[in-house]
Amino acid sequence: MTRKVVDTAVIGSGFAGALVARELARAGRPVTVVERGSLVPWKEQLHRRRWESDSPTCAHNHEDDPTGVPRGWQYVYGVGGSSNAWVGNTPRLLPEDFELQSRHGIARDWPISYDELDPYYVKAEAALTIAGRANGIMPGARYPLPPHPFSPMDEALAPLLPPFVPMPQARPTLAVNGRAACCGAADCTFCPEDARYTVLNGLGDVLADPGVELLDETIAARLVPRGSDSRVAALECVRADGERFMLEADRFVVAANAIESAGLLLRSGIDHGDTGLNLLDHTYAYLDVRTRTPVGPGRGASWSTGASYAYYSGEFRSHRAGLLITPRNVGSRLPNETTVQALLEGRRGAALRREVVDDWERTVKLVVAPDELPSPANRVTLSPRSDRFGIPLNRVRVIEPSDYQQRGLRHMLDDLPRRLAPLGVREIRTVHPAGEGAHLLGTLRMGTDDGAVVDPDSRHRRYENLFVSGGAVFPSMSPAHPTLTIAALAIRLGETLAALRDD
Amino acid sequence: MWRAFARGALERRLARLFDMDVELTRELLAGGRRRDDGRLALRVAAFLIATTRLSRLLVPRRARERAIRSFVWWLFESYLYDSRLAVAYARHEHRLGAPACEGLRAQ
Repeated sequence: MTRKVVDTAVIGSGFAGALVARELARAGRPVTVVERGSLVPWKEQLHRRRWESDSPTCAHNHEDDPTGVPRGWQYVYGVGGSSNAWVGNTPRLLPEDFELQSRHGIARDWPISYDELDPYYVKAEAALTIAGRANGIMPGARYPLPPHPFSPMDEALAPLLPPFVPMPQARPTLAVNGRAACCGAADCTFCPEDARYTVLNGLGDVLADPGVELLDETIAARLVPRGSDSRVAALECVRADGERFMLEADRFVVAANAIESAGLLLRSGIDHGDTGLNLLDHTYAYLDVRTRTPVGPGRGASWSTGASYAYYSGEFRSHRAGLLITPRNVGSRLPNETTVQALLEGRRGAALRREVVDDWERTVKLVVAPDELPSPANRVTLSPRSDRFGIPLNRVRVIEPSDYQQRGLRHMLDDLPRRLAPLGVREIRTVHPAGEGAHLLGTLRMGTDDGAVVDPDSRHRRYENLFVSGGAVFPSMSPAHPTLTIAALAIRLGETLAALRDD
Repeated sequence: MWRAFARGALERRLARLFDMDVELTRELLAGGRRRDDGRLALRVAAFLIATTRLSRLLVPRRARERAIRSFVWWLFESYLYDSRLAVAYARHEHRLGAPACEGLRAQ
């Protein structure tokens, strides 16, 4: 097998990997990025309405554990990873999210505090050119771009669901760094203007840096620990044509998603502590709140422009989940149950459409992101089955949302009609869990206890030259979207690595 | 030839029924055919029957509801996660956001 020797190997080229690479490149440290997906330019993504190429390395390699609940998982194998497919919401976690155990007796505390992460949050907000407005909810937040104005739906909800703030987002309000301003096409996952921040349009200069080598269509098959000591010697890689080679490096940064990163460590025999356990994800609830008052769906400067923290924060988190509510400006889905009922009643043609659209105009679409408790029952293990390259599939097991989460949602559903009474609530239709898992967290958690996989600096607790970047290190989750926190942690890790002396 | 004629008739019927553009109807049906689970003809026939005036008198409501719901979700399945469908179906005077969106028009 051929060998290749490099300085630092980063596995994964999404935000978690690319921002680490950026910090190393800025410090003049050579870095090699290993990415199993292909470089699919934005225009090609748009044209094909696909983020991934047809390379055999892009075949997703997970399966459901038959003892769990089936769930779809959304992640992208491609240069830029899931940054190609995200919507762009970037709130910070709140200070209490870092102290759930000490404040509320649930989940786990992070080994770092909000205040310690604050400088990196500021750097992440600058790097991702976030549009937002500083508010008291996320102390210290500083946004390089002004916020999107509230949509009509936000205006209707803001006085009823306080605190209600502009949603910080990576969809720019102004043209910036060669990217157009968000045009409100409501098609964020295939942004027609390439306005939403991605690795490709925001960190392309990093990938083009002469100090950064990109090995795309290359699978990180397994890490090879060095005989007797506490170091990783090499990464066995497989190319799309099946060719295998060893990548030897001084340091390895595992920066894939929380399923893939855990799978890599498990198939490398690196199963210290809680490796693979405590998979967390937002099991969203979608609410269609049918009102008597028109609420103005289909209008707004962006996909979502407001966020309600009405059910997020408080002592109640000791016994029920916190929730972040985001009105979706595009409104409820069409067709919907109203379409079915109107057809059943004999409506046709223009009369049908009038009734359906009138109902749509009087429906608030809310996306509710609930907190969840870490549980070893939700986990990544290795399947006895292998992919075409002979690599074991990642087997993912998740159970039903916890009672803790269900209590949080029930409370909100009981309380919401009272709060929204001025809009004349007719009915609330709820789908939970909704959507596919896209916020993969927790399988290589950060901490100082025996179960923790990495230390507070994201260094593996058994292998001194192995680091983890990405949502996998989250010890607990929050109702807030995780991407900005992933970016902040990646910048922090990148700076740490850049400051390390050569071993 | 008969197949093309039947297909065209179905497209026109559905476009009238939903008050939609024929092009969009054609695209939705094409998406449905790609997902054909072997019950395509049955599903279409059941829906067409369930939406006739006569069926309201002759067919139990529950059976009609099942036929309509099954067809509606099947027909629109390709677009369920595409927010543009709602705005297009609503024939909204504004797309989200006021500024022109050249990239979208160019698609």
